[in-house]
Amino acid sequence: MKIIPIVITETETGELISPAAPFSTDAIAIVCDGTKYTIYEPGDTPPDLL
Amino acid sequence: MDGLFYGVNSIVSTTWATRNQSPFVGERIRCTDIGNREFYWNGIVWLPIGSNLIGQSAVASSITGTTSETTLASITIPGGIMGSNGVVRVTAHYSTTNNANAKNLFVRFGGSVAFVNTAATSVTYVVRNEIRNRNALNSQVSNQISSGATTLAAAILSINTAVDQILTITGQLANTGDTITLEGYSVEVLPS
Repeated sequence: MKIIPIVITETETGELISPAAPFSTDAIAIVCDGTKYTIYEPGDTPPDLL
Repeated sequence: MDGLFYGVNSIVSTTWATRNQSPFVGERIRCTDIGNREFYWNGIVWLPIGSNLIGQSAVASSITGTTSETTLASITIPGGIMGSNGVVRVTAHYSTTNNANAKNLFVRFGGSVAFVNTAATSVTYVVRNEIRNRNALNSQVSNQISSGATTLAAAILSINTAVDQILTITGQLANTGDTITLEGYSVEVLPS
């Protein structure tokens, strides 16, 4: 797993959370919990959120 | 022969930004920064050869735990690729927590909202949206694509497509316990 910090910007509709760096090209799943982006890579087990 | 020969049948590897700014009709280029996609100049715009795809993914991208709007995917639309009457078409597939809480699904173009729809009481959601240049590089109208009437108003934008613009697919929860997952997307450019 890799962690990417978030960047918060203001838009006309409120806060927008974005990754501070591009997502890895080998990502198999991405999850943002409002404080960070977690990048799951081959071999990792992504969480079942739904 | 000295130097490069830009013949009709030759393909020059380049980046989009450093492509020939005075091309001849029929000139072909391969853009190393757009997935080695090939284009040819028709006298008005660079038309993609073989596919209009500019971005595509099926990597699940989820948000949970926040009610702030959150970026799920970003795609760069190279400056000038649309042309004055070109279209960017976005198709996005989502899974959402199946309850009555609102889940806002946005497409932003150059930072402005090009489209927003709200999912609730649904397991999956599919969005198709088109952003059209209105005979100018800096004037757009954006609509949801549907087969019938819709109550969603068109968005009017004034984004300068002569320079690179970021198209972002974002989501926003009303309840932090819910989840939006962008299951996949395709972004196509139809230059004109």
